[in-house]
Amino acid sequence: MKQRIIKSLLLVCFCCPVSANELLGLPDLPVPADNPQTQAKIELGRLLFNDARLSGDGTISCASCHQPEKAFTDGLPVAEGINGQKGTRNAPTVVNSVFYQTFFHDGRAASLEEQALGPFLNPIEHGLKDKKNLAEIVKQDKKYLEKFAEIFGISKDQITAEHIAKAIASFERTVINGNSLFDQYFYGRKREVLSESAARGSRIFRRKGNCSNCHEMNWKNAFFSDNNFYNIGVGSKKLNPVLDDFLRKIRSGVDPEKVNLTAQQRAELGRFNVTKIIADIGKFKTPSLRNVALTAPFMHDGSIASLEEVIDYYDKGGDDNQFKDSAIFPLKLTDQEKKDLVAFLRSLTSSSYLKKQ
Amino acid sequence: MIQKIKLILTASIFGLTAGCATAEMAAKQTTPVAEKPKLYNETLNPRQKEYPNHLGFNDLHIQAIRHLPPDTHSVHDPKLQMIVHHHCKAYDDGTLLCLMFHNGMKDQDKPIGFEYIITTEQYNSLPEAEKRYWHYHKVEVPRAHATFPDMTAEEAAKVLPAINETYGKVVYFQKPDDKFPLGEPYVMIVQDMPEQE
Ligand code: HEC
Ligand code: HEC
Repeated sequence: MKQRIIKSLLLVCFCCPVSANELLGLPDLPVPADNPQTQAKIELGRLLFNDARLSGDGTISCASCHQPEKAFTDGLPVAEGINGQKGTRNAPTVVNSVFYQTFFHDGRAASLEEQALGPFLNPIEHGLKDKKNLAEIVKQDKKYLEKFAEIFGISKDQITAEHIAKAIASFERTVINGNSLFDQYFYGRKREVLSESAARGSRIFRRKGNCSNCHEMNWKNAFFSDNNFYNIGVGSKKLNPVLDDFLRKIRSGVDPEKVNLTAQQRAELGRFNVTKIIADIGKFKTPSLRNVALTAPFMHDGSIASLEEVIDYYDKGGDDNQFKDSAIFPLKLTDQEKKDLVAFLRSLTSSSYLKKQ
Repeated sequence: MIQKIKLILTASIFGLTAGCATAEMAAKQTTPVAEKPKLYNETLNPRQKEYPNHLGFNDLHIQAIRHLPPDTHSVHDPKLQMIVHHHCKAYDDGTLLCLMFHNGMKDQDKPIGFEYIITTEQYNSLPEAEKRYWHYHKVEVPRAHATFPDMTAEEAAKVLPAINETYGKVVYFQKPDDKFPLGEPYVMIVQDMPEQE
């Protein structure tokens, strides 16, 4: 974990679109020592992020699924890639994703740099053959050649997929937004900006609802994720019918990969796919709740359409399965408390997005 | 640390083939299946022993605000509003000892001190000069919006009368902002905090 923590203030001069105020409520920005932020690299990353030439048929860019005008999501339950192929998981926002310690819903990537290569080579996303293929496309553009030379000090032959990933990750480190009404209320101590209902909701979130046990916050900042993995029951309905059989087989020594599951069922194993620990079945990463009002539908499988339904889901204690976390149980919220929680979640939208709406 | 290293290793081997919308990458994994995660450091505690033979400090989990020294004497100070987790062990003599975590009690969270809880009867036996360090839970439980997050409302209602008739003394060895315990340990006088909403 050799990450250099650059103080928020320092960051401001590196990525001009983000003002100091915009960072209110956010943790310090983690920047890896071997990929420092520079303005030119950020700009290059932005171009690559939006470049559909970097795909099998020239139609898909990162921004196809992480659309800046939709708070860097796609608004779909599960993502659609090249040739309209559907994946098994909901596209999370890229906004503030830099604050995660692991990436993807099951945490299978350890850095943004590593994460960025995944979609390029995924047959149903960008659908490129291999890393060389990716680098070759970039090399065909003279402007790119100049920029790679300037930023990394390398010649055409030396450009690799890893350089591309570094630039994209640098760009993603500027896609950060805090300064929601809640931040102004709680960290800025401007009590008047929050509605009574949202203020009550913020207390239910920390008290009766127990939400902040996983969607963590502290007195300095709030990412609303503890970077941990939990089985909160989402997707149980898809996995439960085959689960006993699956468990019997793997406990008797069968390689989990050899057990016949559909892609959808396998995706529901969640964190287990990474760790092979049975207790991790159905666990997914706690998502940040910043800008959550803009990123419907919700959960790793996009199975919950609205924030109201998310609250109802928690209130009933989630869908049951044998690995469900003991922190998920019926909350017995009143109708008003449910409304207050939703009002609170809506107050987590960054003011820069409020202006755009 | 070891877990982190493991994590980085597995992720870097398989992450590169992993796309966004699928969990296909799993297909190439060779890690053996395990029933449970290893709870403790595998080098320092290879046989995963627990002392005592069950996890301590898990009898009672209390969450309460008004347990961190605020930077300003204001009800709106974010520190006053923060929930402090009390993870308590119940002893046969009627006392409770709680480890205090200002950010939950998860794998890498460190306690900053403890709260010692005694019955009203035990409190009455204390010397007068000592009594100012202790807060009465009948008064402070509602002020601190204390909740028992691992119990239903009905279960909590049964426990509350007993908790109400206790006194607590909060002793911290570390200020929440400090990276390490600096200076002297201190007693946190909970009853002197500004009133909360
Ligand atoms: C076809 C749609 C699609 C495309 C194209 C796509 N993504 Fe994603 N992205 C997703 C989905 C779906 C996930 C979640 C997958 C999972 O967890 O298994 C994801 C996850 C991520 C994450 C992790 C966020 C988190 O919360 O852990 C980041 C960062 C990201 N994508 C960035 C990118 C970049 C950079 C590109 C271009 C190289 C890209 N994506 C291209 C759909 C897409
Ligand atoms: C035990 C830990 C835990 C608790 C407690 C918890 N959450 Fe979650 N939350 C999660 C996890 C894990 C997910 C992702 C699950 C998935 O993708 O299937 C999630 C997802 C969500 C989402 C969807 C976010 C998105 O972008 O898809 C919302 C909204 C949410 N939680 C709000 C809440 C609220 C409100 C509470 C309190 C009533 C709460 N959570 C309590 C762990 C928790």
